[in-house]
Amino acid sequence: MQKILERAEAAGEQLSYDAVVIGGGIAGMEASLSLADMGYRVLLVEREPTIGGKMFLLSKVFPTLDCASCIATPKMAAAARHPNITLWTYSEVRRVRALDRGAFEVDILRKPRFVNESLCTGCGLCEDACPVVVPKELDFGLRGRKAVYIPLDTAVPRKAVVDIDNCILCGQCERRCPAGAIDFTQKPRVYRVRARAVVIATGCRPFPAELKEAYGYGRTPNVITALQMERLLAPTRPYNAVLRPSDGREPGNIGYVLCAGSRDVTAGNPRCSQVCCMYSIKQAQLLLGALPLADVTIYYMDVRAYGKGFEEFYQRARSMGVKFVRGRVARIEGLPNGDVRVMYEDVEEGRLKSAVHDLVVLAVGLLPDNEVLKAFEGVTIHTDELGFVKVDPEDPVRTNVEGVFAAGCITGPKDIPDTILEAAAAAMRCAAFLKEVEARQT
Amino acid sequence: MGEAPRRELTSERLRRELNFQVPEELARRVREAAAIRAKILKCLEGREMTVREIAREAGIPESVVFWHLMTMYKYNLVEPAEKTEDGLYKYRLKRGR
Repeated sequence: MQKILERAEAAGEQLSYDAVVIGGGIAGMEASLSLADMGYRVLLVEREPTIGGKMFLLSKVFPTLDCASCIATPKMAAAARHPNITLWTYSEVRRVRALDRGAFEVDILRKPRFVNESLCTGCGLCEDACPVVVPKELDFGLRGRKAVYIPLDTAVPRKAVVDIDNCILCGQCERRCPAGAIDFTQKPRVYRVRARAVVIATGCRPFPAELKEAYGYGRTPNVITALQMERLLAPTRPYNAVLRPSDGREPGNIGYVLCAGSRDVTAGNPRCSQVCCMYSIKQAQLLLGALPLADVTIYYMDVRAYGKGFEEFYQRARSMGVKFVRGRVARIEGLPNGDVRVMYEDVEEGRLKSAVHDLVVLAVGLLPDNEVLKAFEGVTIHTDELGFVKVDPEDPVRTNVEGVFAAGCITGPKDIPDTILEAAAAAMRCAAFLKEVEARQT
Repeated sequence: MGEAPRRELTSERLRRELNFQVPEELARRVREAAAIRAKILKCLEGREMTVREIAREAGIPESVVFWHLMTMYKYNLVEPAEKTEDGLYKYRLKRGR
């Protein structure tokens, strides 16, 4: 990509919007839709080839067990089609400069998809023709994808994209595409956009489980993260069933390790991820639906069932037969047959114990996805010691820079309802700011 | 009348403009993956097999077989058949592929 990016051209057009929303996950989409519904013109910028963020990768949401895709995909479609929203996927914010009160200059790199979006029908024939297979990021490596690919069946836009770093320029996709949509003449373009406000909604990223070395992630194939399990349980799942990656066998005995890379000073992340207790309990319930004969054990320090309906959800898991073991897991190791041994301290009994599982799921913590903060020039967006954007406790969507708002997991780990609530609040605050700027200008 | 000259593909053009050579590491990975896929497909010709059986016959680790098998499943080259008593699925070539 580096050689391609060197060919970037400056776009001549001067574009101007009321607000630039950075991040097309559930927070960014909600903030954009709320602003657009109030009549403001929004540019929604997403780094990935599809909007949807983490939510559209999930199976179901807790505690209602509603289908996550069924909530996220209508919002994705609405954001893409709203007349007041301009959607730029596969685009990166390179620079944000505050020029004046209510005046920002934002440089945005639009990376080439090497696919003409207006011609691509999303038929997938290019994928069939491509000879290159690499691990699929949206399935967290559980299976492969081609170098030209449609991110997911529910992607918005549902258009192919060429991963130029892994493309061998063999031309197979171009020969196969019946619409003539493959276009390697596309060049990266840098747009300079004027905006009156900025909303940061770049969300979070999972704690890199391999950093918690004692848990064996990356070395032991049957130690996976909870996001990988989400994919195994989702309607757009990578396998035909819930299967373990080492040999494709249905697991009969699954262990969950909570607080893997969260509430853990030794892992550099002392903060509670807010959601790992509840998503583990949700997955345990879903697993008992998918694999009725399975045993599910959850190793926990304490269960933080703090929200509405959460305690009942936890009690339901217990009554369904999910086993809860209060104990901190010290070490996880793979056995020659693919099984996984978990060594832990049973706090209730005060003894060191071990147990063997077919599959172990690490409920990893959440870290901020804050790369974009480096793009701010002349101003610094304040963050806490872990890199989450600091907001005013009495106005929890306002950053230290006037006209810059933040919503969702970029201000701290939180669940989907809180994220949506915060995004709507950010949109409201942003709209009030825009009104104030307008009033001063007239 | 002579044949019309073939239009240059845009991929060929980019190759030429960048003086592009496939990086050795990428070429090696593509060749290896193609060989593994070919072995798996050959194993499945006319029969149904579990990951374990394919791995044994093809001499490839089970986890590698499964990863490629699931990739081929998504690209409609193979499909699951029956499930064995020990929780392993048998796979076969996709009918009508």
